[in-house]
Amino acid sequence: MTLFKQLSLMLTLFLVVILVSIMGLNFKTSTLFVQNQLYADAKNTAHSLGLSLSHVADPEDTSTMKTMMDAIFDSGYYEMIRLNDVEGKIIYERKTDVVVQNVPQWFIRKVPIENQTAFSDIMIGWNHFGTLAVQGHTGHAYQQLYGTLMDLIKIFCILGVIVFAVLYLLLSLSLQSLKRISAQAKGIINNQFIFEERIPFTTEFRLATIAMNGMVGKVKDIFDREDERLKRYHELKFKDSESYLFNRRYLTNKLPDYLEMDTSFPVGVFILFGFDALDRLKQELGYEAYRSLIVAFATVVKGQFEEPHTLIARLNESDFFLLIPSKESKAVIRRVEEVMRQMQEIIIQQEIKIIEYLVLGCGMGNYSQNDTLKTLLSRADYSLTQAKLRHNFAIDLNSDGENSLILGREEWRKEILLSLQESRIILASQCVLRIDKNESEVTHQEIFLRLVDQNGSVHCAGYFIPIATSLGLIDKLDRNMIAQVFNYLKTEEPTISMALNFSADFITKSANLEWLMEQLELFSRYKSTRLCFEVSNSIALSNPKTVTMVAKMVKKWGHRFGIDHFILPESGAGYLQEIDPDYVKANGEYLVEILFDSDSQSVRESLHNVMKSLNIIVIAVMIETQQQLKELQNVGIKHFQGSFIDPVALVQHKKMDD
Amino acid sequence: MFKALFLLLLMGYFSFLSASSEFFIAQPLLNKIEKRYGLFAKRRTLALVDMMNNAKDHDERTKLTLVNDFFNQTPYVPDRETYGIPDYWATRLELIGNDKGDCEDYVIAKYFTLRDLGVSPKKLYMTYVKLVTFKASHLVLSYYATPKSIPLVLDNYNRNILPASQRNDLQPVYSFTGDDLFSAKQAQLGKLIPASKAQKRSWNELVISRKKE
Repeated sequence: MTLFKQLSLMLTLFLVVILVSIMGLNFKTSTLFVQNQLYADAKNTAHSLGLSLSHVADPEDTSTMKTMMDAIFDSGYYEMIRLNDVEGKIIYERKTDVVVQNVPQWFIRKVPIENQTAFSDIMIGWNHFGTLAVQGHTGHAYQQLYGTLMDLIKIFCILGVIVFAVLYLLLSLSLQSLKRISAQAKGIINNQFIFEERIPFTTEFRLATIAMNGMVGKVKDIFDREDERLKRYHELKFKDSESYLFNRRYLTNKLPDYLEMDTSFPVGVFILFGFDALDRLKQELGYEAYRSLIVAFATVVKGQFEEPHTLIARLNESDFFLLIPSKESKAVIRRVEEVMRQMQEIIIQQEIKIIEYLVLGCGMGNYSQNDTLKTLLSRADYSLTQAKLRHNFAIDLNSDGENSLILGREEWRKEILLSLQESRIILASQCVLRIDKNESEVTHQEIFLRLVDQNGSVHCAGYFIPIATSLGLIDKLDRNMIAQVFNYLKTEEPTISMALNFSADFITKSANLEWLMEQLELFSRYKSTRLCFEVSNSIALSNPKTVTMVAKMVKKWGHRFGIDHFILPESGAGYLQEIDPDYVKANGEYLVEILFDSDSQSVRESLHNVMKSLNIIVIAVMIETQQQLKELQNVGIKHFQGSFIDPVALVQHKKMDD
Repeated sequence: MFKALFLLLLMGYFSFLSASSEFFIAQPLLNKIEKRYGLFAKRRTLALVDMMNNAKDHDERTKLTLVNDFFNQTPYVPDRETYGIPDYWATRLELIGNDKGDCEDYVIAKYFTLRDLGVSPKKLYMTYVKLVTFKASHLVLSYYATPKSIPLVLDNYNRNILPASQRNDLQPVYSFTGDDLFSAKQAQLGKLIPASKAQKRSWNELVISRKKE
């Protein structure tokens, strides 16, 4: 129950008690007053009538006395007037029943009025004649009292409404600051660093706000400091100091993410630019000329190829490697030619003489999931050598991987749509384990898609996802995957949560998100199973607002949100604070690089601190050997995924095994 | 049988009490009277107690005479001169303390003293009368030995106690019982007694108690 409700209830009770008490007291006073008044009136009548009766000359003439009594009785409000003689014998009596109009019976029953009889002694001359008894009429008193009660109720109702309105206003005003405190507290729970600028007037609230601001400040400070440290370290470790491009180490770490079977990236274009005779340039024109040439080259390359998923790295002093996923060499060759043209211009502008000895070559080709870092680099190297052999600024197109697309584009479209129709797109999964000391538990299983071709062979995502992406069919596959999982969960009761990946196409189309919202709503009606939803790091970086919205949406239904292929961007971990994921998945190799300080042989805590301050779990993926697992455990990682942990298996098969 | 015996015993106890127990005034009250009204007032009060102790064992007629005579010694002074207002009902203490009063002050003092002496309040009436000779309003205390008997009149004007039939100078107007006049309710309502602020005090402020022996 909110404080507002509690206070309202308490004040309402208090007010009701006060009002009812005042009303009760007021009514009691009125009752007493009416009672006294009734008696006083009776007494007055007894005396004045007594005085009149005393003046009747003849004591035997009771008729005059009776007339007098009748006159008084009929003209006033009396219940009874009686005249007794000295011995107590009734001489004359008038009585009437109490009939009260406009007053309900319950009121007469509940409110007793003590109707006292007033007496007066009648003397005729010096002789005691008798006693006159007068009793006032309670009907009049009841009417008066009932009227008073009704008036009191009316007044108190009006007062109550006014008081409640004022109370509501005052409470709303004074509790406004509490609402802000509550919002700030919620922010803290959600790992947001909200700093409340408006300090409330109420002392207690002021203290709470100041304390929370202090706490938020401290946590934010830790986050900022560690984030800064992490960025600096990242830069030192993975950036080339001359070109500000990524270095070979970064490429080695990142490439496995690209060549992984279950991403949209396992096919694309690789490009290797290579200079010859850079040493001579340095000797003849000096370091500055050499450096400006490298910077110019980096700028030109970035200008042509900088896209969310493109990887640009400097392998060594003279070689630059580019990986452009989900593209074919034919689509990018124009851009490579443009780089060559611009470089030629730059070199000529710098010093025409250089052109005589400085050689820039380019080898490029298509890569596929069949490639490894080693094959890819040797193919690129071979192609570059071929180019350099031809002439300066030559481009060599390596055709080794050209047959990766078995079918033509249109045929692929038909095949994918048909496989969706014929339910040949099936689910596979891989478990994520939390391993702490000797205990391990499955936290969730990541879902992958597999395609069963016409011959019944099962193909990995890398086989059809890239072409589906380029054909604009990937969101259809995503929808199919979500629907399949929901259908599966309708009938099955898995104890392990399932993690589903969204493609960039899926989350950037509002129709898909609307559809997802409906599905989640429907799902929540019959299942309380918690699911996990993931997007890749590059999607999170290129569409932070949409991803934040999607994360909030899935969390609203009680599901978890994660970021796959995490690698710290140049801008730092700030975007994680916005998106607020429950976990990030990062390449194990990368995590070792960033977490292990080879100089001091100790663990660097910066990444852990940043993640802890945002309450994010780090999951190391692509664990393939015991050695890797051990290294990661040594640097404090507790969550793992990879073929060594649990190989990918078809969901239905797993069920059958169970 | 037992009931009759019990009643007899009870009556015996009361007669024993009235015959033997002495009237007295508590010392603090006496001191208060002396401080407020002076030494003579204290003596007058003690004289009242003496008179009461003297009267207590006599019959009602003698009690009437003693009480009437005692208070009729007090000089008559109109309220305007004593209290500065046209009408003021003084208590017994005020009458003795100031040693002056007007007709209703005598009636009040005699009424409470006779009650203290054991005279039933049912026999005592305060009667508004008209002084035929002076054509003026007056208040006297009437004593009815029985409800039907001719009352005896205790008056400060004619100091003798006479039956009402012999008081041709008085024309009765209306009578009240003492209870009627002094009941707290009526006093609060301010009906029969003038509702002056000064009147809001106990009628029986001169407490004369009986010793328990």
